[in-house]
Amino acid sequence: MRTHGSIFFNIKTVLVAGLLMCTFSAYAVELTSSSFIIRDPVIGAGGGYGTSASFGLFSQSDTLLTGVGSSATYIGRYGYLYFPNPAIEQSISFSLSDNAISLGNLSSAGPRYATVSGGSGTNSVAHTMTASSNASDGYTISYYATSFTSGSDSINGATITGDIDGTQGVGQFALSISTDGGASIASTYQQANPNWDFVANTTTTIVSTSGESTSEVFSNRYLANISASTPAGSYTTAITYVITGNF
Amino acid sequence: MSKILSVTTNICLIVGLIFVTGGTQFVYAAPLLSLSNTMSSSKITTASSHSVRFTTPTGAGDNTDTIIITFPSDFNFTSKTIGTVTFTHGASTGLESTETLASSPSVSAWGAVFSGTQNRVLTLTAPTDGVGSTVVAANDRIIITYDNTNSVNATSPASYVIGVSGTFGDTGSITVNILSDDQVSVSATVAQSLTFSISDNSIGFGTLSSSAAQYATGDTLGNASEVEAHNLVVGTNASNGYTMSLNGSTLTSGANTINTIGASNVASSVGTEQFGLRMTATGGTGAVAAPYAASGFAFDSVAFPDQIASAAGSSANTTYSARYLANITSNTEAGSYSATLTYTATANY
Repeated sequence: MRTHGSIFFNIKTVLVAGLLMCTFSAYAVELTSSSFIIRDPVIGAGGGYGTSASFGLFSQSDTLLTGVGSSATYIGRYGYLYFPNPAIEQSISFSLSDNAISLGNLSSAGPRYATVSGGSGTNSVAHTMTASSNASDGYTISYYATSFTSGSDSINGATITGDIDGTQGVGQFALSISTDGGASIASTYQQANPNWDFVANTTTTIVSTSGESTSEVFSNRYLANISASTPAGSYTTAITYVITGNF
Repeated sequence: MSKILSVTTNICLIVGLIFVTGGTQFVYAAPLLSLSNTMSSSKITTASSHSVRFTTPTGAGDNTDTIIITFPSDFNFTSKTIGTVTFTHGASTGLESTETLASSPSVSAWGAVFSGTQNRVLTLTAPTDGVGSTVVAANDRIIITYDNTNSVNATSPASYVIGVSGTFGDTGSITVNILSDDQVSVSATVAQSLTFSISDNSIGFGTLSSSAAQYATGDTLGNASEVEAHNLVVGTNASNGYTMSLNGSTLTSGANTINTIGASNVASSVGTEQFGLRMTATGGTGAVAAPYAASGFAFDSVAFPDQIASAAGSSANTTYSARYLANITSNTEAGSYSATLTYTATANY
């Protein structure tokens, strides 16, 4: 009997301790195991949680009211377990430095590069793209463009490998990108090589990251060559850049 | 006393435990994984498609399951129909199985209903058998697409959160970034150009004979065999090409003339009066026009200015080799004969 009483007393001790913890705990900590993370939960009055090396205990009093109420000056979340700032808010940002660039007057005698001020005969940055996201699987940047056309005439998109200025006397239009960060640029667009590419009327991924990343600046360059018989005219294309977060 | 205390403590503990656990309900709301929304445009107030993708740890295999896509305020899907929405899923790509969407669920179709302000909420309700085409299994990749019909972006540049929820139990959100302008306009100018040249402006037949044909040469001495007297080079970047025409008169000496060979391409005929021209073309896309292109000769002065060559579109330089024939009769008046021929190239931009 004494042995049973001792065991019963020990159980009671644990339960009392647990109840005390239940009653007075209102922590804001991060709870983790090998398979989950609960960040900064708040447990309503009368409830709590506690842990030791061998157990974990969540407790609560009866939940009489649940839900969320708010006004311009407050927000109330009612219930057993809620998260005042749910983990980390998703974020993604993207911007273009300029929306209109020009290659100027094209020539069959030499390459032209786009700038914001009428084009250049030397390799130049036309505009930048700035991107960042806390998406756990990173982000991608893709583009969709119409052909580089003047009426029914067009200058073909070109894939140029390891050549800063392409081929003079041949109709070519292409894009190349460099970065100040660690994002992956699609190989055929890497200015570092330098590679150039342009695909019209197809959504094409040009940049990708694999995890959270701080602000990164991409420099976009555009190259054009023409032949002597490239039809005269005013050539244009509209390139739509889209960022997609992979949360 | 001790026993009373112990019993009281036990009762308190039991009551306390009931109090502690009473009313507890466990709802397993797993977070969705690998969420994304690929848009065709992120420009404000612009029609854009959406491809909402996520992986569901729980699946949606009960006939009471719903999957709800909620776009934030300011996105506008007014008049959008479920015919512009697709729903696919599968274990790998998410494209393995395509579900039929209908206004209400059935054995073979998911219900799909737009609701809320400007149709910002899409509720997909599981088929009545919970399966449809293929059951949405745990860990399936789900892809829900909207085309850009009646699918307009928010009016202000900012980040917006798209919610994914429903009674299937999993939840998640996707943040997208809307810009004031997501396009770069690239422009360039190709100036008009027309190249036109004549290699020699003075050619001659030398002395004509009624017993043999004579061909003009650049040294003005002439030749008994057909040779190039001079050439003309024409090229242009005019999108509608160019035409080259000829004007002038036949060989004349005072009041006397040598008859032209005529409007048809004919061969040389020794002993008759003939003054004619033929051309060949190399390079570019230009071509000699009839009647000057064949092996014989022609001189269609009635039609002057007569088109002798053209290109239908922009063309690199074409070199036209011009050959001139002269024949006379034994009665052709003596004299020094000459003709001035004017070539004109016109680009058609």
